[in-house]
Amino acid sequence: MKRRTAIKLGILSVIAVGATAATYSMFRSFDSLIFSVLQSDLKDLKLHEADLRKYAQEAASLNPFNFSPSKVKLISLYNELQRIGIKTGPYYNKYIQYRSEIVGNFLLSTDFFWSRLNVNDEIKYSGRIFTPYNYPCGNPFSNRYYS
Amino acid sequence: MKYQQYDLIVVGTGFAATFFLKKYLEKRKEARVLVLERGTLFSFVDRLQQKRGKNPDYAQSLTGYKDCIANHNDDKPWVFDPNFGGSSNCWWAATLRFMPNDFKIKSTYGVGLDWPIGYQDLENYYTEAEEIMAIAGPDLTPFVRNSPYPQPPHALTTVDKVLQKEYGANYFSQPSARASKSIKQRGTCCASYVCSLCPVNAKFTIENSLMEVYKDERVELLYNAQVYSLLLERNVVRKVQFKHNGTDTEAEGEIVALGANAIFNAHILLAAGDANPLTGKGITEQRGFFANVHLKDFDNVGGGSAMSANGYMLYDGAFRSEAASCLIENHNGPFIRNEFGKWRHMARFKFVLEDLIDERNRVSLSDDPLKPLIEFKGHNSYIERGRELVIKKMDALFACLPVEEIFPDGNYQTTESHILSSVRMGHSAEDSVVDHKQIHHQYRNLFVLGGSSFPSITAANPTLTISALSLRSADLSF
Repeated sequence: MKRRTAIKLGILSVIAVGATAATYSMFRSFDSLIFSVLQSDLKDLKLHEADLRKYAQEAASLNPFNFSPSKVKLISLYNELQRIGIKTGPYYNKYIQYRSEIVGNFLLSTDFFWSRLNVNDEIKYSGRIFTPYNYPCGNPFSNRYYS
Repeated sequence: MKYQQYDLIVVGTGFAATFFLKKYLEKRKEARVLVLERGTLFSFVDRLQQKRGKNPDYAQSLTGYKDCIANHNDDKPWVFDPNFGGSSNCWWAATLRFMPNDFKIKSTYGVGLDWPIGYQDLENYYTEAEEIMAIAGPDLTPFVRNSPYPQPPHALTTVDKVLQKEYGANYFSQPSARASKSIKQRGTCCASYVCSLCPVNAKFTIENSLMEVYKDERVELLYNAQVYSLLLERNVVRKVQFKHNGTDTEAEGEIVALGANAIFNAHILLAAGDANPLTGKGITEQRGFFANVHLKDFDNVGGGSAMSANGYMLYDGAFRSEAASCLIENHNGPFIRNEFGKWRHMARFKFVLEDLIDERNRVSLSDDPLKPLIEFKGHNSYIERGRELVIKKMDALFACLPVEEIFPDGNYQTTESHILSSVRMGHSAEDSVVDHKQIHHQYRNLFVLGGSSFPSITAANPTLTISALSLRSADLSF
């Protein structure tokens, strides 16, 4: 098969899978998306599933990440693509960044950073979504905690 | 209004207007001053309430910045705060001085326009503005200074310390109006990374630090008073025309100072019939983009403020004849790297690039006499060449750090929120609208203050320069 044809077929495959995933992702709620991301990316930390669900519900409602509806759809689409092994695409790097914002906000809403990132301890959700207005002076990487 | 005629009418209550008025009041013991503010006092406390979801009743009827202007270019927003204190409410408090070459890029590099003044003309006023804002800054900077900063510098992060060791005075703790020691109503900055509305009021605002200017018995402040035109007669401004609580009104002033932003200053002049062909033209701002840097076994921690440091490694040099100057900022927010055990093995830098004025970009009149129309065709390719240079040099720039990989964003931020250059200053009416004291070349009792007067912009944040220019204009004129 010629190289150009193979590339075209590859792109079409991604689009086809993407279209399927997009169709599926449109039905995925924001809170289940958040839960899915956290469950996957934090599987090596000691967390209660109930905390993840509680946080996901509250974060979906409050949207501390300030994600627009189009960003949520993008995350949802790439999340599905990633689940089936596709880790590429024109906005893939952006997706990785948005994903880290979800994970980051969750961890900031727990005691993880204040316990100095101790992965051996059980991590607890504080019950309050992290925003700078809920946690003034709450940047755990600042010189308030590291001097 | 208390009087039939005023000694001074000031339009706006942001940095440009307030620093001008402060100096004016120091020099004129007796005066009748009228200040016209288009918005209202949307106080710090009420803004916090709004952030926490408890919207004060009056806040629901406040006009947002988007509705104040006619802008048909969805890709290019123009962000400002249309209430008391202007952009002091939403700025991020970075207070960098311009460098000497920033005032003479045409004669030095053959691009852009020279200012009619140089760094030495502003140095004392920079110092004075820094005192007023109680700037926290380090001893070692690339700026020529005649005195230390009023407050101690904010702490550098672990990444900053490595870069400072490598680059010396070209990499330094960012001078900022985020207090490192509490002062007046301001708390101490703790890197909450929401300077647009600081949760602890550490950032200088007109409200928390210069309210006394507007409570002075010589000053009469009217809210909900949007100036939309001037009455010009024989090279003099006779009256200021404004809508006060919806009613058309006029006020007569011996001296008039426009201290609104670059959009509204130009709009008022155009509506008044200012015939200078350059009025309104050249409006622009910088462009910026982020890059995440992943580090190997190196925690980026310990920074004391939202933007912990600035890098001047790509700020000045012969390259500016071809490509934009770049200001580097280390952003010290609570970001993480989403990999187990590497949560803070990362840094996030912003690269801000200067633009060159393009007269196709301009402020003009719309169908609505209260709304300026902004026609923005695009940024200069000078910026793109600047970005290419930064990308090319990025690996070498951070070679002193244990870098795993660098991820520059493929896109620019939508705005840097620094609206500049619509009523430029210069030596004569042939090449500019206002002179070196920001007085209109034709209307000699009219000051046009603020970022509108910049004939060229730099990569550096403009607010300190805006404030210093206002102090200078008032100091030299009264």
